[in-house]
Amino acid sequence: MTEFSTAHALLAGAESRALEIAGLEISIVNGGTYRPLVTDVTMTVGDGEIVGLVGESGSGKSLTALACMGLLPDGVRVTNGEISLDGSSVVSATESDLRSMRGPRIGMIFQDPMTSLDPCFRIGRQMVEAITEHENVSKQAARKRAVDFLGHVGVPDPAHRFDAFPHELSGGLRQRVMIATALLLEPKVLIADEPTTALDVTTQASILRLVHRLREELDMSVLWISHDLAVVAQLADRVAVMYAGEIVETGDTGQIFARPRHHYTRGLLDCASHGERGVPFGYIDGVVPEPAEWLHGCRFANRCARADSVCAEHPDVVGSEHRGVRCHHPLGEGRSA
Amino acid sequence: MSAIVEVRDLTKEFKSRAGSGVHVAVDKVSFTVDDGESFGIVGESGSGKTTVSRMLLGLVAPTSGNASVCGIDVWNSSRAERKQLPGLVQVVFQDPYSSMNPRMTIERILLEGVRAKVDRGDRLSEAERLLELVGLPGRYASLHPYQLSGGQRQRVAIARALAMDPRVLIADEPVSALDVSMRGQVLNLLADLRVRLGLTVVLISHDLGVVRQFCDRVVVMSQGQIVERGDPTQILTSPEHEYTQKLVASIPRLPIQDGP
Repeated sequence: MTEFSTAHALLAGAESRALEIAGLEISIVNGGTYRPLVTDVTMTVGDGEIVGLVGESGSGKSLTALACMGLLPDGVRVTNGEISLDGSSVVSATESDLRSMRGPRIGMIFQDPMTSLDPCFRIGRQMVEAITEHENVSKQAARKRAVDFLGHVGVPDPAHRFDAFPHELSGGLRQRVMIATALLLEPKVLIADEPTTALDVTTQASILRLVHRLREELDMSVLWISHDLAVVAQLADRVAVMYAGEIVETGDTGQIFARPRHHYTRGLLDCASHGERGVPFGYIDGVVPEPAEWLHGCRFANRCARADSVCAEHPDVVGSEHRGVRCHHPLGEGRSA
Repeated sequence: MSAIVEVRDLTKEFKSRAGSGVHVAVDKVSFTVDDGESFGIVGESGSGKTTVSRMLLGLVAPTSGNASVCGIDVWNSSRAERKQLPGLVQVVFQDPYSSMNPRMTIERILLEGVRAKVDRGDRLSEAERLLELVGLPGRYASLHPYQLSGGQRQRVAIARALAMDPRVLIADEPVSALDVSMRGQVLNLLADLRVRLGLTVVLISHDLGVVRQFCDRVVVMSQGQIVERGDPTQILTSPEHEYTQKLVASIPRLPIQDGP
């Protein structure tokens, strides 16, 4: 399995990269002035691949996801770089191009299901509309597919729930309805922004199993955004770690967790690991800086125990997207990997 | 050790929205917490863990059963006795932002409960003492909540609870709303305060990993009932009840790391 996915990643040529982000910069634009919020983000998601994007709030991971959907808020724009979906540009797409892409080619699920479910309409009507908007099928056929998908995502008694309003369902069920709606058009790429964070662990576990199954069945590509390293460890083939608007480390999931090279990744792992009774909890001193407070050199330097004068210079990513780190003093230097 | 919190057959029924039906949110829950102990209540949303804490705090009236703190029955004692309760048991909630008035200064927030007891001239120094107790600089007394990070706000919430000099501190999901990198600091602070001040801490959490590292004993709740109780490590490694087994199996785990 590992050998296969490594070969798969290396072979990933232009045609099999479902989602490709290159040198992405996203900024707040206000008249003639602009302030970058995300800089130099380069990553790809291959066909049928699950990539985890990890970082704390304020790291820029949600903005990156919204940019992929062409859904950046007013006043925030892609100011450099390119995002392509199966070879076609998202950045230069018109609003009508984007509308035809969203749904069949790229779908998104959010942390809060009420951001994508309309409280005024029964869920079935919203699901049917998603299908008939993009495909020329009868209402009956659309209805049948919607009910089938509700069943797929583990909604009990789907034919009955089809007629429910969003408020009549529990949080876990709403989340499943939203996931089913995003998957109805079998998108090539699914972007998931913390979709299980508000759910109980038992519900989360069943949604993670579902995403795995859909990847196998539909060869769907997934960009899974989370602050929860354990969830990403369980789900993703590869991981990118973001801090203060940039990617600081990338690698195969196994490598990232067994041998992190960036001090921030190491710190996050220490925070997420729990030990025996009485052992102190791990933490990283300080807070994620606002974009206005980014250091000119390494943006993590003021929270890093290893930082020295060299870190006043902004580090580039060393290595490939396959295994890269943005640090002047990476961990494990000189050790055989 | 003697029991400082005693909960016996505590039950809370809510009328269900449909009309005649009754929803049993908490169903004959009994446990005791020893003086100075750190005690965990674990469960998923809807398990009844927060309703138990609200009945302990005197915020929600039980349908039957009773709860007492330091020998004072929270729901069946004289008014004079009940008046002592805020000085005995205090709470820290999940979201420190929504539990603070954004227009007040930190000093005002900290001393809200004890304003009448502290002379005007001593208020600033009392606020500074409380801030230092939770590892924040005294000058934060003049700031407003929005000027602090989530972790700092949660420290202020802990300091506010400590202003009443309680014996028991109930922490209801105290780190769930915080970034991963800050959670450890707040949990370490709670553990440290427990030892330094001889506090009893009741930690309510959905996270068995955190509870195992923090608590001496734990009860696991599901659908209003305690389904398992005992040593957290043992429950995490060999759960006995069917529900706990499912819960433990659902926890995503980090792979084993190589040595540093």
